[in-house]
Amino acid sequence: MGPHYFNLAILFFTGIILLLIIFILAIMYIRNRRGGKFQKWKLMASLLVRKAIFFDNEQDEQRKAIPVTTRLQKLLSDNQHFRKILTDELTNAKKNVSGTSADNLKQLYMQLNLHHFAIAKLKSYKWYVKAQAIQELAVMDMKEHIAKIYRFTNNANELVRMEAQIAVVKLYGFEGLRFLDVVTYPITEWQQIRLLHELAQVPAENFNGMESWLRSQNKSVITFALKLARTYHRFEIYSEIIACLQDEDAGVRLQAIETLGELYDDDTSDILISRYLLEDLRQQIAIVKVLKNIATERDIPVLLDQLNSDNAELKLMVARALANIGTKGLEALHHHRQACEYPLDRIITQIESEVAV
Amino acid sequence: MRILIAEDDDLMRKTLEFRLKRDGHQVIVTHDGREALEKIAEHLPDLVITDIMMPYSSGLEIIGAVRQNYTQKIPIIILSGMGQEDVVLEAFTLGADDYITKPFSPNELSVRVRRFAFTGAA
Repeated sequence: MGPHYFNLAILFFTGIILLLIIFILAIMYIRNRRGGKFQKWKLMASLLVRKAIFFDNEQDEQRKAIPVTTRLQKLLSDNQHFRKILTDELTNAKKNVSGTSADNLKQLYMQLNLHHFAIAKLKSYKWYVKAQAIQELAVMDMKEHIAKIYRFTNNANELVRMEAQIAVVKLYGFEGLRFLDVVTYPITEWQQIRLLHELAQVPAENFNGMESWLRSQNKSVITFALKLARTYHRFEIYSEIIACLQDEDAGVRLQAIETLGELYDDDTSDILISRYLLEDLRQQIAIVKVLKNIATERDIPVLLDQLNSDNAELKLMVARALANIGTKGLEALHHHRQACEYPLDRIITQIESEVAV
Repeated sequence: MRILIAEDDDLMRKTLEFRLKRDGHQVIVTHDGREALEKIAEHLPDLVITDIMMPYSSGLEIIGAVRQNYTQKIPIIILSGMGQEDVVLEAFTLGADDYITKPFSPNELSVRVRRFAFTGAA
């Protein structure tokens, strides 16, 4: 290869490098400009939101419109990026303030017709757009659109369904739980925790439907209803909870047992003991855990029989239940034929130290 | 009153700053726990308003550090989310003086701050 070709190659690669540098600089310039524009919009949105938070509407019965410049209104109708920035700022602020300030934010949201955009997004084919719109409407307290949101509480998409269920509870508290009448998809453990958390923020009013939820075809609805019964001490549905002990689903039976640990009656220990031998180990442990709190001296013989189990966890639970009955339970534990053998001897030492504490 | 705000959320921080300045207070704003501790040492504020969840040092760490390192009583108000009862209890154990649950009304915050202005540590 002669020097002529070598020079040409150098020239070619230099050109490529120069082109690359120009390309990178151009990208950086565009990104900077865009970033600057976004920063400016964010500031404008933030200022408007703050203006709304402190807008003095308290003295007026007829609410005044929050002043918004025509430039901002135009930007809002023409530019979807700015609309998104403003909506995000509004929803974020709404989550953090209450009282008149929160009312003002809702007013601004409606005044700018942002709820119409959210409702349009509910028709999107993209699940995440739908889910975000549902969340937005709930945060902005759009009770008037409950019917549109309610429709999604049994949506095939899990995340849309979850957001809709949370939204109806956020908007209507316990009354919102009526979606449990119709939901056919399972309510996951995580979603149940979220719903209970949401319900903890609102007063327990209009809390109806428990009986029918406990008879639902959807096993997760029964499980959730049992958790609700336990959390909100619904003693009046005691017999329905007892009926759940016969359910074919092991998860439902486990929840029913745990619920009876909170809502018990004179006959609860007898009922649980009658179920004991029919159950699997997991449910048996749960029964013994409940018996720890509700068993009386007349249950000592039954509990002593269970000490013969090969399962160490069950053995420990039974020993705890016996000790919790009182002196007679502890005495019975000491007189058991395996009391001096491993592992019961260790278990008894452990239980005695717990009792001493 | 010289008030230090420790809040990582931009909008909330600006909202608090605006409201407290309007009430005539001198406001020092910080974006995270570490900056808050530095500014507390620098300015010795009359009141600290801190969020619980923040980068670097949490609101609880701020309370602990203030109570441990300063002999003078600096009242502390914490901003907590709904359902954070355990955190609120821990904050009181560490020495917080008051708490406000989000969402909160800026008017309520203003009244609570005024209480500290009148009584020192309420």
